[in-house]
Amino acid sequence: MELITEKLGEVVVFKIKGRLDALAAPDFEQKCLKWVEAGESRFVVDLGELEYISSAGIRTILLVAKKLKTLEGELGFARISGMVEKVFNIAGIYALFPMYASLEDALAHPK
Amino acid sequence: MMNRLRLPATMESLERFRFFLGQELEHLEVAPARRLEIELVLEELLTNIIRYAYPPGQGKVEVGYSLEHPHRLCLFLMDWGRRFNPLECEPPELSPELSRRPIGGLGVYLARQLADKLEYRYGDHANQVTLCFDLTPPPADS
Repeated sequence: MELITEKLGEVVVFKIKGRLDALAAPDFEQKCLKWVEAGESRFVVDLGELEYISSAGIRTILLVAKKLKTLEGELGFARISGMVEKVFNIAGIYALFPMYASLEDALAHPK
Repeated sequence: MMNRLRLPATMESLERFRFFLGQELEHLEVAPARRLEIELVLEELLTNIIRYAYPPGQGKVEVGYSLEHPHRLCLFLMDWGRRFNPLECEPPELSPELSRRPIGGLGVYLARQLADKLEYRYGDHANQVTLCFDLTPPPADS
């Protein structure tokens, strides 16, 4: 997994590449929670270059989302496709979060 | 013929099992999307065994594969730890409300949804899981 983090206005954007599997998920979780603890509350995860996700990755997403919810924060996803989209569908993740076709759409979305 | 690999039931073994199976998936020219799904099923069942079958850091797990016919690949997972039948797993809560969603419990569910066959038996003091995947034949050269 490769993670590029960028703050665009009020939004923290995680561009995640490669594999979010059981080996990578703890690292991703730690990095997300660090931003949450630093007081950030709007997050967009750009999935455009994420090739693979397993239940360990889904678990991290749900954990971070729950933490954000208690802080009235927001988590959205952009550019989902391929295997990751299929797993989100099967695991019923789609209905839980806003999904955007592009990063621009995600950033334009008013809170 | 069945190829098998037996390794310690630790997270460090995950990558080695993935490469072990990956070579065969490459050789069979499995479509990339299907390949990722097969890797997912392997990861879900292996991480379950690694986390729950034995006291931490102990025990072994074996993965085997064979081609049942040209378009059906079967995986075999074996461990000698705590008895666990994935077919008896409770279905997960898939509520569209975040507050009602547990963060875990999805692994076996994903595996069951993506494999075309999942069988379990307990014998010789071992959990034995068989998973089969139908493979779409690669497009014929035109």
